[in-house]
Amino acid sequence: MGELSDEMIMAYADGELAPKDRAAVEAQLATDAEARERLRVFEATRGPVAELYDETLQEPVPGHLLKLVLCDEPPRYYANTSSSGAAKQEKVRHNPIVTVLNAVGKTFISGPRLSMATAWSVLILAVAGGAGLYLNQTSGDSQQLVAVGNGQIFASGPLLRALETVPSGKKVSLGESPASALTVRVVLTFKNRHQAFCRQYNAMTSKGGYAGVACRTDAGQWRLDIHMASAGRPAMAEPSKHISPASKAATSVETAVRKIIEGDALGPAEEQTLINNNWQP
Amino acid sequence: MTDDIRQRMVELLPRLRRFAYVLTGDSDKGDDLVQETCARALSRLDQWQPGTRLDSWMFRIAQTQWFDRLRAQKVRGEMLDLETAGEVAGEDGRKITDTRLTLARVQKGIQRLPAEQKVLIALVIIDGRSYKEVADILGIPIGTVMSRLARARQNLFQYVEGDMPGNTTKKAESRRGRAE
Repeated sequence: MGELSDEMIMAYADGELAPKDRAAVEAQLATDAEARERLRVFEATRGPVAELYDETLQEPVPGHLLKLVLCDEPPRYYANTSSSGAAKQEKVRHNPIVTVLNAVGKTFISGPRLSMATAWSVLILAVAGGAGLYLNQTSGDSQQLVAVGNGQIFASGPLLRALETVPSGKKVSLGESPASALTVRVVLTFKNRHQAFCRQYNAMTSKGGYAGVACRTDAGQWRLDIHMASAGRPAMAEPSKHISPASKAATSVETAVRKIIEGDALGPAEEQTLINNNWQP
Repeated sequence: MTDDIRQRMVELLPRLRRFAYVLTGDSDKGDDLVQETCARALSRLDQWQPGTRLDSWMFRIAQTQWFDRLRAQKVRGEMLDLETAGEVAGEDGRKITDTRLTLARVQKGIQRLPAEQKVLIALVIIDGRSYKEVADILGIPIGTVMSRLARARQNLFQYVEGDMPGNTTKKAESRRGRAE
């Protein structure tokens, strides 16, 4: 073997050599002071440097990153992915899992600017007949979450309480008994194109998960513009063909948010102020 | 399936944050990079091949995003000069407290490296990946990984040693003596 290359010495220091090469390099290092000096550089820049960064792994991961990875994509991301929007619309169009959508939603999402109004009409038609069915089927459990009034569907009980008072990203458990256990997490708060405040939420009950978007009306109610069965993480009492994996529901809700959002999501401070002021801007 | 991947992504976050911290030299900028990386990964989950390493895929996305960002900064003329970048890196809360090898000191040295060398330090030295894995992540031959990594470490050694109290800056500026 001729003079040891830097790469060879480095690979030796890093334990990347096969046993045979390793022995050869070792033998040469034993008789070559200059090569040992070069080795020192590679040893000094391995273990001692790596160790310095160990503690950074122990730092708590910021909540907004966890939230992003676990449950949503940020609005900035929606805004930047117009090219994939078409694909997402397709998913919604063929997705049979929408269980409740306010009929009134049609008027407020199908503004002239929205070329995807077609996709939404499909959605609305698909659920217009199904809403009543859904409510009958799941009476008991979801009546705690939703109330029907004036041909529209509103949040009630613990869901209403969560929408009114819980900051985004915070998971809260509501409900008095295990049977009525409910976990709600508001994903984000934003303004829709009509300047109403809307909140995207995930809810988990003993019977299954729901995801949706609620918008606050002038009368102070939270109108559910989309509310979907999202997943069967807890045991589903009645498995239904209308219930699809969480990812699909999440995608559909995210698509819905993307359609109705105006500007960015509200920041934590802005949101907290609204909560403190009972949602009066 | 998606939930499972998201869970695994969460487990990767500490390593991904460390990687981004090394590349950007700053915790906040690093987290911005991690955020972009995760958003991009989530929007392309269908491109991830089950059975392949999720961490390699995410690190590849992260370094691509970072290089894209550097390029954009360059175009907009926002690139900090290297000395300034080093100063900024030393001041993000991790104080230089003594004469030993410290995180701040090494971070400062790493920030002076060219981008291609920085990535190799971040992947091989700090994340502990093998040459082969890094070659796969970056899509370059293993020989290139080795030659760049060797130069990166010789440079880093000089920078950090030159930064130690008692050493003249002249030594730091002597630019990788026999490394050429």
